[in-house]
Amino acid sequence: MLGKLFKHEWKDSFLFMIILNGSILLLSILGAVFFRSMDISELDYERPFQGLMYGTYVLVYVVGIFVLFIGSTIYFYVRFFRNMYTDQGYLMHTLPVTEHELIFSKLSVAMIWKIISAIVVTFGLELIAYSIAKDDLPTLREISKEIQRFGIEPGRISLIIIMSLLFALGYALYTYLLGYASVSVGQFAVKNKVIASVGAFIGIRLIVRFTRNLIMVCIGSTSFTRYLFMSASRIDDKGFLLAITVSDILIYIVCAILYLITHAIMKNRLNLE
Amino acid sequence: MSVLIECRNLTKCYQNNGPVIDNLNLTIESGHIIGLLGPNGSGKTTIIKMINGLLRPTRGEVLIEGQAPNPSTKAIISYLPERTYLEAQKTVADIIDFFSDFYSDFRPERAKAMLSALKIDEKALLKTLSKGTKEKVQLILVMSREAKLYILDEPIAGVDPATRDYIIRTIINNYDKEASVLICTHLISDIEEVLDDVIFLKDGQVTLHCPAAEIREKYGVTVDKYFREVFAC
Repeated sequence: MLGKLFKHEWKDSFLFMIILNGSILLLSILGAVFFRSMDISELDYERPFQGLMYGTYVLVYVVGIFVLFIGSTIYFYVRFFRNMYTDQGYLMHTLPVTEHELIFSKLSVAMIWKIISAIVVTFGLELIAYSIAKDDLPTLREISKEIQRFGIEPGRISLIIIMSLLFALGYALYTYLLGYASVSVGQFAVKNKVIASVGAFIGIRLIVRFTRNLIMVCIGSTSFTRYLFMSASRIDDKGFLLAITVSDILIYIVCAILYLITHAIMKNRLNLE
Repeated sequence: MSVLIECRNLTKCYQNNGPVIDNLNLTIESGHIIGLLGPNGSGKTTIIKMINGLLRPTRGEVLIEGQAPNPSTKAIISYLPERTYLEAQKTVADIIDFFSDFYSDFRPERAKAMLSALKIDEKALLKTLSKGTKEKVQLILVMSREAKLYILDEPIAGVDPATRDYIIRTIINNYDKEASVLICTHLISDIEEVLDDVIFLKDGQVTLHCPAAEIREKYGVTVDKYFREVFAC
């Protein structure tokens, strides 16, 4: 049944998400063509039209990325709320499926779209960077050398990249589960369940942040990003690795807790009035 | 005939209010068409929702073939709620596809035949259909399953008298004689002929559970008339 739930969730969200991702891709291609035809280093006051075009494009692109990530997150929150706790819940909760299957199907589709969006944005930025640099992009070897200049041991580079990707994935998971758990907690309110859900969202987020900061302070850090900006010439890679490892563990523990909250409310406290 | 539904000391209270269902005991056997009848606020829809697992009991339990509501009990119940629960952006054909995927007892050809009889376009988006047509679509979907128990909450409330007749015929013609149909409605006279049993509900408690024929024989009036006498304001 999980496969069938996944299939229908994918089908239902496809059009909206393909439009969002397609728009960014199209914007990136247009940008690449636009930047290929001009030289940014030659932008000056004597060419105000080119400057205006450049500024407008950058603004639209940044807003586009913002809409892609925030808009898709809100879209999946709303889908979860409508499918589970409004009239549509009368259909979803009478299907011969478990609550785990319901949550997991929604979460996995949302996560796949988040990964697709990340790939689309990365590819788009690469495309623009490539057209600005006029094919003169650094090779991987050159990038690796540059990183080593900051004092990071070569053996640690791949580990740091893996841990950072794990964190990015965990954070995306956390974002969705935070929404699902908040919407579920909001159902305890007698009236104004949406406002209660927003309140739960803010409340849970504050608790998670406070707990995380407390633990990070205990291990002698406030944030792993601190290590990137401690010194312009040298990065504390050992400290960064420790901090990001702790952050990885914490984010996945929080995800597990939020998942269990969502599941427990749906299984034991469902009240579609 | 086997026991299909059993409610034991069932109680439901909504958020700090008094009980809507109060220590209710009820047994429903297979092979019957049962009318769940009662005035507004008597707890009919609340019982139905608890049987379907949409509401959790405050106390007591609901058992379907001996089990609390779970995916396997949901697989044998075909439920028509009193509201529109389908996504408006979908077409009728999308919904048929959805039901075919999740219910192994769903018969798409039966659904298509009924849609055709009622001249409902399969390609139509649900948001373009009238409220009455949406209700017909939902009833068609529910009655196109070969379920053990059909639970119909106000199936004829929002449709015209001609369609009412069609719906009642649909219910009678499409349910398996081994299955049971639990119908909750205010329009008793419209469905009276098809009822085997009636359950009267008042203030969350069963006040009467007997064969419909028994009311007619014992009191010499129709179920509808008897209901009006019992629940007269």
